[in-house]
Amino acid sequence: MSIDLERELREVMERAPISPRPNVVKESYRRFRRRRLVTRAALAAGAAVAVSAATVIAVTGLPGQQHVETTAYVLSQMNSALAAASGDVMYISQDGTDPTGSTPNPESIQYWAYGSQSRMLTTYDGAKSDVWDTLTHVKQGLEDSVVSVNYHQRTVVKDGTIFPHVPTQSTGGCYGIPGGLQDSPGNGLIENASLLAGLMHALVHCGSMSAAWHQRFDGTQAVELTGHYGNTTWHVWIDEATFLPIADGFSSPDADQPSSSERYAWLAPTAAHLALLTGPIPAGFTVTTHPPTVQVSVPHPKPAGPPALPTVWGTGPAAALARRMGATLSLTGQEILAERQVVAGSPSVARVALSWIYPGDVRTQTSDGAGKPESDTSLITTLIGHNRIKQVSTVVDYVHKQVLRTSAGGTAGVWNPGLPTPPEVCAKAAAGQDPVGDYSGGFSPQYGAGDSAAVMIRDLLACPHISVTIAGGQKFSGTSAIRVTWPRPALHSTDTFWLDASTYALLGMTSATDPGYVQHQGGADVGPSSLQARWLPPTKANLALLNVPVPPSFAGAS
Amino acid sequence: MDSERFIAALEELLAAKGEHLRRTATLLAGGPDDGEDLLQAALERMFRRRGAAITEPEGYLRRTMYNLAADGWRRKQSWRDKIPLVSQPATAPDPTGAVDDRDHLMRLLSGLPPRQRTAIVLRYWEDLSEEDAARAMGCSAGTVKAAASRGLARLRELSQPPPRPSLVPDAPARDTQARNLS
Repeated sequence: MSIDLERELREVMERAPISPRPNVVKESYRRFRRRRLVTRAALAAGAAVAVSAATVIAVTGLPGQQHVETTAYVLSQMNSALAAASGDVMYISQDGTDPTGSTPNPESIQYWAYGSQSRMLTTYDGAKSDVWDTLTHVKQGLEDSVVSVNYHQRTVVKDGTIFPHVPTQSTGGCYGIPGGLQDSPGNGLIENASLLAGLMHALVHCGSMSAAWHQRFDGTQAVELTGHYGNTTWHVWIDEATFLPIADGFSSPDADQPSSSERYAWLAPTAAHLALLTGPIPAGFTVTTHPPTVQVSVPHPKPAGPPALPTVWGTGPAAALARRMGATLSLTGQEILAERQVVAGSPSVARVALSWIYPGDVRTQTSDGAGKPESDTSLITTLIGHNRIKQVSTVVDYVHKQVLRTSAGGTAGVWNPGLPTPPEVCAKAAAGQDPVGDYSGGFSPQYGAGDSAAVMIRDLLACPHISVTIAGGQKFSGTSAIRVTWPRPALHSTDTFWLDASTYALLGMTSATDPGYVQHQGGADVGPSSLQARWLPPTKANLALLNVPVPPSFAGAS
Repeated sequence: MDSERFIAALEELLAAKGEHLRRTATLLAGGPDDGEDLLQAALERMFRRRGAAITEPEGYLRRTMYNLAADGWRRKQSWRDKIPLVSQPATAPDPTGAVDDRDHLMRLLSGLPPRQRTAIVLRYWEDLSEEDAARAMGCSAGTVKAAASRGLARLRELSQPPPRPSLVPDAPARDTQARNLS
């Protein structure tokens, strides 16, 4: 048996399907470039990590005085200095050496920021021909345009990001710590003095620190702050006279975060200095313009109207009921579907799931058969252009006490195969197959609470050769209901659906195996399952049900 | 090495070994789309590290993919398993039972925990010894052996045919949801 399985495994692996993407290398490089750009803010934010308001620094030795300074004092002085410098051109250079040694860095970076504009000039390996010049302009916080000039390839790429809402910096958590901003496609913010000051406020509680006054940095008397966050160590030197940052650096054993250091300068906004923000676009370079990508956001409230539903055909009471359901679906498609599903069976199978489903937004809580929480998951799907979607998920794993956040994009054709047509539903049902499987795989960002199961029932009722029993005058959880029973002998089960007798909205469903038949899944017994549905109007309070609370003590919560 | 030459070297590598690398990525990640994402993530890491001396790009790329996969890269798979309405990668229906079995085994493989799946892929697809697989995964040979053994045992357990008529191609309606919840 073991040898057979290993042989089968090898055969399976030989035939594993692949789906090559064109230009995967160049796309990787582009993403690398993009991430490097947004890492800028994280680098600057490091200056703040070293500051901890809880730490008291004893200062002695100043001529003629002896007093105690706290980090709050340092922070206050630095913020005041940065506020005063907000009208200056902020200049940062990164020379590729860390503050404690001389680790070579392949990149040399110069960065200028003023108002809503920034420019970053990157030279690789000291080669003057391998230069990237990236110009960013943020338009009223809602869109940034990015022009990247590649001197080696003699190309110019223009693209940017559109933000549905004016981006704001986080006011809590450890925003900007490595791993935070770096995964963003763009932050819509220019790293300037005011952002730097704001990030300091947000980050002040994130690290522990030590400080040393009266240090010398390039001939300037400075306060040296040394902070730790995770396995990263930060160093910031602050001019003791002006309280402006003059340098920072960080080191980390993480191979993805090479050591580096930065020098700060604050330039008066003279014409000559402002000209530094407008890099030239050389003649003769190939110019490519990409449409801006759209930043993902939670689509609340949802303005889109209900989707078009396939036409119901057929005659008789079942088809009539299907038509009534169709009319209701047009309304419930804009509501929040709240489901409670219970699956009975062996401990490895038994589950309880609560779901809230709204166009583009799904939240599911699961717990085991004993009611112990397992997970709380949010999935937000946004259309970001023709036939392309972006999905962002947050998984709160109560078993391992961790939080996972991921995002992925894809074509709508892959992620959203669409609803089967009524003939397809009928053909599958007639063959003893399960049309719900198709609907389950056909989550549509627009459809959302159109409720796959309700659509299936509606189409099922209209199928000419499917035998269902319709019974009125029933009760389901105290509500007057219509019961639709669908015996499925080929599957040894019977599915029962309950519809609201007044609105024809789905109230619930049950699936039970026939007496004497035991259904197995992975060696475990599967018992009957039941589902209760409620339809909630998209009020602010109900929309809040779609948010997943993140326990702050869980790993990855910040 | 400058950007253009580095890109060219990687493109040359993919032109020569792309199919095998992509299949490896697919197996490690559990599906073709996620495999391409894994490959892209590994390439991206190479760009970050290109200042360091990467003397053997193919080996470096492979090791990066192994490490990413073994570390539970793209653990988002968990939400796909837990949310009934999210699509799984579509597979075209195939009329032969043999293909169904292969698809079934492939799905089971993709459902294994990352380290078990990585150990199995390295041992049975990459044909690495336990020692070589351990070096690639950054763990001991004993860990590889245990992960591969547990993975195989789990596959064997899950691949037992269910006591259900073989002519029934799909699971019952609520069984679909039950599977998604487990």
